[in-house]
Amino acid sequence: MTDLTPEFAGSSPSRLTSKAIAGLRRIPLSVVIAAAVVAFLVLCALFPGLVTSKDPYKIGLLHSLRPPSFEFPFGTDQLGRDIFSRVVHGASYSLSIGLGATLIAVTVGLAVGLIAGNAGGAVDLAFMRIIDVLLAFPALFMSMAVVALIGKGSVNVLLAIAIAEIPRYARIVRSQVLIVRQSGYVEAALILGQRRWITLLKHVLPNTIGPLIILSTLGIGSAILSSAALSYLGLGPRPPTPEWGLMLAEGQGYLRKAWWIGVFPGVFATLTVVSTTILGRYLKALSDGRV
Amino acid sequence: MRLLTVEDLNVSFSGSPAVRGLSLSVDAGQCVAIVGESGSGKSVTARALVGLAGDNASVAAKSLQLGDKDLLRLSSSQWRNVRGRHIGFVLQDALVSLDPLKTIGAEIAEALTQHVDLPRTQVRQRVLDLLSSVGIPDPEERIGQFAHQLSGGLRQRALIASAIAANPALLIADEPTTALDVIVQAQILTLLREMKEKGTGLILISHDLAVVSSLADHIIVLKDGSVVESGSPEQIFSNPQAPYTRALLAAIPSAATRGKRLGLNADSLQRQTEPTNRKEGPALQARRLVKRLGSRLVVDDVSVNLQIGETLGLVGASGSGKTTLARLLLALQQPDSGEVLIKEAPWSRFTEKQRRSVRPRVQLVSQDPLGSFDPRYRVIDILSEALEIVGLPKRDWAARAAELMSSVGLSEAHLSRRPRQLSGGQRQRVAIARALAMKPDILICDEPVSALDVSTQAQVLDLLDDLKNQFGLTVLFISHDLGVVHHVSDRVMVMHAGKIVEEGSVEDVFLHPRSAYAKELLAALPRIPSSDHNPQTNEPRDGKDSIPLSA
Amino acid sequence: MHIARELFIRILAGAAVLWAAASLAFAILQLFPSDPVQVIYGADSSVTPELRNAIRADFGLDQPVWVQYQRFVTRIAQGDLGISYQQRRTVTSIIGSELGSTLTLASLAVLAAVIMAFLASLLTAGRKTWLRRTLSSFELLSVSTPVLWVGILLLTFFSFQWQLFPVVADSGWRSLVLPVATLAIAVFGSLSQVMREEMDRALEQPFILTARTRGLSEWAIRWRHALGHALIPAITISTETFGGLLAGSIVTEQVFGRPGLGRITLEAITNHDIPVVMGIVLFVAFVFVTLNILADLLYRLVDPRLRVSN
Repeated sequence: MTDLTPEFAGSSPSRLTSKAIAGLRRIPLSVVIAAAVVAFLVLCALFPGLVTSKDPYKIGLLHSLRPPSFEFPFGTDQLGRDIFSRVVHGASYSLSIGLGATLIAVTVGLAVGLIAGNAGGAVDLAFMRIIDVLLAFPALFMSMAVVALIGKGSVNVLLAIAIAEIPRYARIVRSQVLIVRQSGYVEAALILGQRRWITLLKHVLPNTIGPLIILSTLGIGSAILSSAALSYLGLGPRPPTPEWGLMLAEGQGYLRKAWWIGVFPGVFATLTVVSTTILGRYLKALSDGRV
Repeated sequence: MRLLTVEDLNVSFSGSPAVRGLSLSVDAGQCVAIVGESGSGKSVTARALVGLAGDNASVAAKSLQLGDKDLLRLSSSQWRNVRGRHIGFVLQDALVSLDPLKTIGAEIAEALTQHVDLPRTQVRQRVLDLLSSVGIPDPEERIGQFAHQLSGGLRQRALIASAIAANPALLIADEPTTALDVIVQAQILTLLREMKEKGTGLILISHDLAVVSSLADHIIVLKDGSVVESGSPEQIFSNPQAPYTRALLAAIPSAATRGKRLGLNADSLQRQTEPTNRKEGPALQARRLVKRLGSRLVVDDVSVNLQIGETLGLVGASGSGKTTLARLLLALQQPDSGEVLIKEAPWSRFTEKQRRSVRPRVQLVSQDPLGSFDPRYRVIDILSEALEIVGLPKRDWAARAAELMSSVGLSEAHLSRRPRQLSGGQRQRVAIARALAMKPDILICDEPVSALDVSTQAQVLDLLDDLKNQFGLTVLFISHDLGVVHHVSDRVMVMHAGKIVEEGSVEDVFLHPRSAYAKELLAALPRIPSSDHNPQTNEPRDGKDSIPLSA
Repeated sequence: MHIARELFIRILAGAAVLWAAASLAFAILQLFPSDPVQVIYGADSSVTPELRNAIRADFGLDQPVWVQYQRFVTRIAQGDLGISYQQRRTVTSIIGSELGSTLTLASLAVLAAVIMAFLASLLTAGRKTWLRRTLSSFELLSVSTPVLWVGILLLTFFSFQWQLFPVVADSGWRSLVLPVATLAIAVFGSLSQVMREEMDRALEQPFILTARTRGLSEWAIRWRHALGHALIPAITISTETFGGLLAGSIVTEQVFGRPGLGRITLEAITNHDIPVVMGIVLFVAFVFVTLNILADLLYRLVDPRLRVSN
């Protein structure tokens, strides 16, 4: 009766293309802008010379603390350095720390979570208790404690942020593994007589990694926030590196005279995080089937 | 006394119509039933009558008159005065139809104080009175309890108490018994009948004609938002006019439909009475299975003897242990004691490695096909996984998949779909196709049609019947629905609180039950008051004046 | 009765977490040993071996590892977090003297954020209005903006440009406004997002329809039925952030030059004053465990389904 006549309508290739175009058009404006911002930041990070011709390190005491103008779009700092050039060159630090730390954290978290979730029993219990303990500390605080042990500097900051994020990813992976392992489709594979390790490769792993990749997009933003905070506190790269957090710390004493010193590095940091977050949320909505 | 008059009601959601031209009227002490499948617009109608069709709904009618009130002209604060005070509304019991954070006493008191000015001290007494009037025992204790502490039946009673708290003249009940077991369902229907006899007007919304039959004075059958038939129960059941009503009645599985097809084209495929090369002997046996979950005995000393070629029905209420038993038989869980044998081999004692080669022979069709598919897979991937396991060479997969699709009544075009894009009935067909790909001997069907509409259910039951005959399958059919079990089974087991309380041929169990529980169950079953409810067949019946129907 | 028993079990489990955290800290210290002599006298000072040994013995570093561990655990169980290399005071007294300032800052910020988030979700959940769109954009901004930059912006404009609030830290309640606002903005974003999501979900549940069919007004439905369901994530996030703020106020305290736990943490880290770092680590873990137990009790208060064991 109601579905006695199964739908035979197949999708012809031409219809698929027009579907794809219609799909592209339906992408929200905010996502398009976010993608453009990220593309611009990647350009800044890889080829800063294409965006600005000025040297971010060049001191010019004659024109220190100049307000934004045609020559210095973002003004100059207390040493007369061009803030625009420094902000553009700073992108590479933030992006590489954000990406690098997230990559390490996700990889280690995935390994730990997969082992714990699949081994079960005592191994799982031990891993999860340790993770519970580590989660007792705020991420920024953990990173600081790690820096206290391994020392300051860009690479160490990257490592410290990664270490602080590992427990979070490990816990997510482990709970996702447990959800997938108890799912109807893993049981269906068992009933079919599928081998255990093939089930692990064909069903458990892909269905765990998918959500993790999306979550890690969101994680890049928080890693960038941590790196800015650590640099600001003087635990990251040393002056005169044009790192955004460090620039804010160095300029703080001159805010009374020159507001632009405090504004532009922050604008860039915020734009980066907002854009990656918008993209991450969009990816998540896509995978949840909400778009 | 006329309570409500609806003339030419139209509801649409952003342009697409959900209800078209519905008219009805309800008198005091009268029950009007609106029956239809999912998407028919019956719930939308109910909500539109209390002004809650939703923000994006547009409601229009020639007339919508409640007593002397014109419902079409009410302001939102006037609507609030109508809701609860003049029209009570009872939702289907779900755990969250009552606020899980509030006591049922607080919920009922809220409905009361919204419309009636009462001193605090009297509110409690009124709530206690209401609780006992809907048949909730120990009201003093229950008043302070939360929804999760009550059984489904008690929650449904509490919902009714909250709907009648301000003493409305009209009550709308939207699927009030759908989540309940047959025996509790009968109790709730009795409660509603008592209220009707006291003069309350009742609008009953249901997908189930049998449930409605005992209570309704007038039945409206809805399909895709339009009224296809409207009349007295006698007229609808003995002389249905619309083809849809006839098909709907014919689709209800019951004793009368045994050995017949439920869907349309009833004569297109004859059941083979004597399948060729049938073997004899046990296909699957379980000996004295016991399974505890915590301190509860979920499966209590259960033995099963499934003979080659038969369909064994297992019927029981939710929580009776049916699904756990199925999982033990499939060796997805291990029994605490007892064993499962397949063709005399100790299946439940095997290691999983030893079981693997036997697994293809015992396949499952579950209630939730969607959950049993990897969310990333298309239909072709789902079937390919099965075909790879049975060792079919890769080049033959496409052809075999197409063959499987046609044997479950789907087309090759469906192979590229994702299960999410398919209807509930189509998904179940894919699940069956995957099971068939394994060339099984035994099919365990665990509530395979419970989530489906009656007409879709009819098609899937017909399909299972065809496949059983075509491939000589042995079937264990698990369901809470007595009508469905009666329709499909050769033998029946009745399960209650972990035990098999009755076992025998279908005729013995359904016509001459011996155990107290089976007797109670059959007595509680709603029946259509006509023996000849199946208008497609004109065979003489065996003189019974009522037929058990789906619960 | 069983609540008392479960509380006892929770406290035991919390103590186990603390013991594990302490052991972990001890183990890490063995892997990355730090020398008190260097911290006290500087890296390139010439200290006689006798003095060096005396100082090391002072801190018990001359003992075998397991004796050190034993002492370490016994000390901590008694609430003694050790002695700072640099300040020569007990870590407990250092934390004690700085705690008040951070506590004031953190609790005011969480309080302000919770109130704002409640209002925001009551006003906008389940609706598609311009207010909702504005608020969600603001929430996205607030979780994506570096806390330190918010602080710097507030300082630049409210203190330097418009001179509405003092720049100096210790001048009464007025000096608290900007730091509290800085932290509250950050907390508000994450809190409000989750609370509204939960309230949206609650508003779609059947019990809301039940309440509507009783004739309840929209406001009554939000206030009496939906709000309670948003409380559960609110408790989770506020306890989590409150614990986090005790240490996470490092940045805010630095921006506004305020005293507090954050400042001594930063000092200890820059000076390699390991006993103080570890003391704060353990203190933060202690706060976290306590808040978790508290949150569990609050959940039970809000959600009766959690009250019945089994």
